[in-house]
Amino acid sequence: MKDLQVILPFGALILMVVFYSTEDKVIGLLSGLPLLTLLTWALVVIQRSNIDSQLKRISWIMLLVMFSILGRMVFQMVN
Amino acid sequence: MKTYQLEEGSFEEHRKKILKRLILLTIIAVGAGLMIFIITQGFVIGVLAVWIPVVAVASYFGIRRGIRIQQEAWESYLLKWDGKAIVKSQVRTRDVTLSLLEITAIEEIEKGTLIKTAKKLKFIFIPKELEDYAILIAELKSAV
Repeated sequence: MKDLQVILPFGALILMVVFYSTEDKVIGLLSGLPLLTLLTWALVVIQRSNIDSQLKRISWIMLLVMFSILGRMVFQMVN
Repeated sequence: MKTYQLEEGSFEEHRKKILKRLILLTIIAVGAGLMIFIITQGFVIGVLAVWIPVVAVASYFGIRRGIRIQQEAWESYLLKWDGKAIVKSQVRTRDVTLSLLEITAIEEIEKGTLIKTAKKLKFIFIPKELEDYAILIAELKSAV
């Protein structure tokens, strides 16, 4: 469990660097989809947990990142 | 019902650890952002000259705010124990009440003790800095 706490954020960061720096459709899809899944899962866990309501509110900003990923993925697919 | 609070001034030690963690996370996140920018746009000194101070100021205020939120949470931590149930109260969170029947495990970890239930997200963390920590944990263990 403790290993996951280190691996997941670093994994997400690497995926984000790959996703935003590639022009390749396939690599974009292969890095974007797990990234979207990870962010959705993180948002759900945060909202379900009994943590500070202020932090819960701030965490909705993740939606912005998720829409950005989704938008870029669609843009890459279309073009 | 007995009420327990965290020892006065105990946040100071905690603050150093939070600060180290937040600074490290900020450096990693900013580094990743910078890497994406340089890979996609190249080393555009004009943009970076604006971007770096803006990110530095935003990071400073973000870290300050993060520590303030953590301090408020730490200082408001309150635990009530009546021999049948344990209740944790903290600012801006729902109270967590665990009856003895609900408790499935009492697990000691590095920073304190976790009182677990069958539900993964329903638990109480008791920091080592709690007043009469050892007595409370012994009482809980013998009661469960």
